[in-house]
Amino acid sequence: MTDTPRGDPWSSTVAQMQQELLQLWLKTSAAPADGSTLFEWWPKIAAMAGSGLPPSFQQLGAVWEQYFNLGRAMLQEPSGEDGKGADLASRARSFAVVMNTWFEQLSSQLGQMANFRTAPDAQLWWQTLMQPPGAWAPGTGAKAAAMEFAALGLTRERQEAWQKFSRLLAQFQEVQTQLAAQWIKIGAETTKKFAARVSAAGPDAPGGATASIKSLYDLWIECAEEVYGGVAHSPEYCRLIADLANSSNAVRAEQQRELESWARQFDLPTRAEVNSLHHQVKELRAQLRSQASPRPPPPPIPKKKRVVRRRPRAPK
Amino acid sequence: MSSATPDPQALAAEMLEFGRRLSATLTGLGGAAHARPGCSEKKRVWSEDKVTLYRYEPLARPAGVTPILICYALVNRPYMMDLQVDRSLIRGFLDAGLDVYLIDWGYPDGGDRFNDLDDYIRGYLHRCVQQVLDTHQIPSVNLLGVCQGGTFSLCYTALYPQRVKNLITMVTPVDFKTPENLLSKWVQGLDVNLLAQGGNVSGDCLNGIYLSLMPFRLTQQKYVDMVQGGADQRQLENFMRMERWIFDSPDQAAAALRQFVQWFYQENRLVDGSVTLGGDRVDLKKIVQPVLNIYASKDHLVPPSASVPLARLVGTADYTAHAVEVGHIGMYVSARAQREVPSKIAAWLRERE
Repeated sequence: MTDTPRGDPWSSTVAQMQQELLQLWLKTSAAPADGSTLFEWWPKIAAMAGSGLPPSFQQLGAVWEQYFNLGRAMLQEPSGEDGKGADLASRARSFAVVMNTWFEQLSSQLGQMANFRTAPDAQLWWQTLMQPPGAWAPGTGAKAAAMEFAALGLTRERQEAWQKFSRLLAQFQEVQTQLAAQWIKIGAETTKKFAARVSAAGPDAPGGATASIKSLYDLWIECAEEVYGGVAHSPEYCRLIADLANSSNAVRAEQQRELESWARQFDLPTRAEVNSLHHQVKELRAQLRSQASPRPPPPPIPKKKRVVRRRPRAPK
Repeated sequence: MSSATPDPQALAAEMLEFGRRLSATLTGLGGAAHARPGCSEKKRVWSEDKVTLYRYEPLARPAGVTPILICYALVNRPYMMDLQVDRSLIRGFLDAGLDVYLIDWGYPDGGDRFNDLDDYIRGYLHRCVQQVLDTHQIPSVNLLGVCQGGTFSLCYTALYPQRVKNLITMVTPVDFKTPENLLSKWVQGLDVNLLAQGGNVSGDCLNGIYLSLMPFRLTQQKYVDMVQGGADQRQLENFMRMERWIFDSPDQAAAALRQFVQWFYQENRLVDGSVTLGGDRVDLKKIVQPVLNIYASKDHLVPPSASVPLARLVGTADYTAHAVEVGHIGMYVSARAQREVPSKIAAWLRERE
């Protein structure tokens, strides 16, 4: 790269590492089968994540790192006994291993993505909202029993609220688990489909479907979307998506109810009160509009003038 | 090396090139991040609450056609219609001599949570139409509804047929329960009352759902492809404008979203004629003015099967359907749409003036 690096320090860092990469490439070009040095600069950047790396870079860095890992897997596939490079099928297998790791990461992220609102951490919620410091809280082992045990005594209502919240949270987590299982299925099916397509295409296929890392990557994405599309349309998956939304909304509603109760205790305005005011304002505005002088009706649509074609009179 | 063995040297070179492009892309993105959407001059002519009505400055000799009012969706920002000079349907309309108005619904907040579909359609949309009619002293306007805004426009035209001269719907869902409609399948079991109880639904939440429709292409491949494009500054700026628009999604007023999901997605009321606004039934058979229905043949959000049934539902004898071979977003920004859509609409309107 001959251009002077521009922009923020990260761009400069990347540009500098790119220079180093080029140097390494020049040194190793005599032995291209060992491509590991090609990727040394990327882990350096990735290792710096969390120490001031821009958020967008952190997010997309994972996408690009994955792509680099693919390249690494393809290049580092051990050579065959005859000294020749590994065949396409074994490289595709290496590729698939990397992509499966990615699938596992993505499945946990996407499980959240379809969620309407992120559910809270039960322990934290309990500690911050329900309990004075040092008060009773059930341990993990006693959790199931505590959820069903009859609420008694002075804090009876709060115990019941906690039990309800715990049940809702358990339902939400159960749906997440089921959704994750669907994603594992999608990953496995994609691997199968991808392997079949690679075998069928071969490196000399028209369009070069397997001729490069990018074309393999695109093929993988295509397979993944096809498999995902099939699963995503299934009644089971559709039900899970709705369940996920409903259970997370139910958890949130319970949280909201508790926050309202706390707001009342501190004489702070509650959502219910604000809602009531909004309703009043809306009704008042509607009344005002109806009392305002009505607009005159729109003028009638003018009829098109009929063009009467008359025959020219015959000269007398 | 056998034909079944990829060339390691070629693979290494490919990765080297990708690294070079990634470096150049990261450098270029810094400058591209400042690219702003919107290119055509417009002025605010009316506003109420969060809603603003804009009128665009003319770019060509007036075509002598009744003004066109664009009713965009609530779920995204309307500047997609005028993203940049070479990606602007509005510019295409202006170049054709049309007088263009646009409704910007704004960003609803907690104060708007009880705004329902009646407020949007018989309230804001109606008053925008009235504003245009008053300004031009005309009895009716040309109405162009886009996506969800098309559904609104259909409802409006059915309720106030005398105020709409010609109706154009673009990537508009009508039948919400067709087999290809993944979004519809996902929300069938949604508890809409519980949803609305939590207040407005965030734009981020909706974006998450849209990304989930094609997660691999939209969260992964897109960003690898961006790098493959290299450091072409113009391409990066285009990319950043799109990126800005995609994630610039207003929160949705709880009451309106609840009704929209329940009435349209879950109960498919537009098709069976059971939508009621302000006590009046929305009967699409009352739409007797000319209708032009433009849909995208590769649309994954509003599949063609959701738009095409409009033909049998409206009462007009002058119905035209036009498919453009693009996806949902491509309808706004693709070169094909820029070539086809504005000229098609302008010609269709001129024929009916």
